Amino acid sequence: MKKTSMSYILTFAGIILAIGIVVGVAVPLIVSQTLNGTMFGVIFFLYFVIVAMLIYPLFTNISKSIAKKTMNKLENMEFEAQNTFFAGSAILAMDLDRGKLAYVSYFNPKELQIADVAKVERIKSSYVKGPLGGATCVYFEFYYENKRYRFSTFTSNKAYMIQSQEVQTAISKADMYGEMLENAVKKRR
Amino acid sequence: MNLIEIIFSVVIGACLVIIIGGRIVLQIVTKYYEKNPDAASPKCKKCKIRMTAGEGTLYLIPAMFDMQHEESAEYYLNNTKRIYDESQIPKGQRACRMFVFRCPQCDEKVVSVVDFLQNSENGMICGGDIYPYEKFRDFLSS
Repeated sequence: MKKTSMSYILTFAGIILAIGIVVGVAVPLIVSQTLNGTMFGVIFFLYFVIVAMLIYPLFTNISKSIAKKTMNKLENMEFEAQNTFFAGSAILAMDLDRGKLAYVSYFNPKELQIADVAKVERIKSSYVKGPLGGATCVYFEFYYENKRYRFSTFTSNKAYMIQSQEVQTAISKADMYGEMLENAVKKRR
Repeated sequence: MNLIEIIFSVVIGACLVIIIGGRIVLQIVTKYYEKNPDAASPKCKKCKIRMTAGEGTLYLIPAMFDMQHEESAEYYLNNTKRIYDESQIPKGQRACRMFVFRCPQCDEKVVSVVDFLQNSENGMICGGDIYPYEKFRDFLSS
């Protein structure tokens, strides 16, 4: 399954760049009716400072909405999504009766990829330890055709204690999805 | 060092002491209750002594993860389903243990319900309370 589409990333970057150029040209023209190179440079630079601060939520929100529309294509396919999980960078839907997984990555949101559960291996749920014995990420993962796919049930840039409600709930969710996949794999094989 | 630097150092130091000290205290308290489980037992209201617990019985609760639910005796009586081992708890589903505590002096009984979420780590306690035994008498004996 393909996690990243370079053409999508480059198109996204190209659109951001194009908007920057248009803003850099339009603002001096509106303000001073002349195309001032210095003003263009300053506005272009400020635009990219703002974009740099907002790029992650901007990219995620836009990609997520495209990915959701791509996932809706499942309605016209032989796929009954008994469970759909929205991770930080992908959507995973499971049809455990038919032994299929549907996967859409936010870095490749236009491609709906269907995987056979029989090829899933090394299923695991765990967490990433953070400072002072906390946890920064809880996840479940599996390998498909020797590539690792990790889905976070909890991420934070703060130090949450492992005993905290948020982390314990996320560990339970990761355990649940891991067990679902294991049962589906056993059923298929 | 000027006053602001001193205050800043004291605040940072205090935060570190609270964080590290808090973790040490939590570990000490947890180990204490593990070694002395009776220390967490309720006290008899009449005799003011610690009650002793019987073996807990396990029940499934129709709630998932950290879902909130009504914490009343009626909720537990009407919605729980008896199971016999922790391996029967589906992943992500809540369960509870019911302990009957008895006063060794006056034979007064209460029921303690501990609502918990089990997982591959230690799990967590989500709620529960202590209820009059009379409400649970028929339920526990069935």
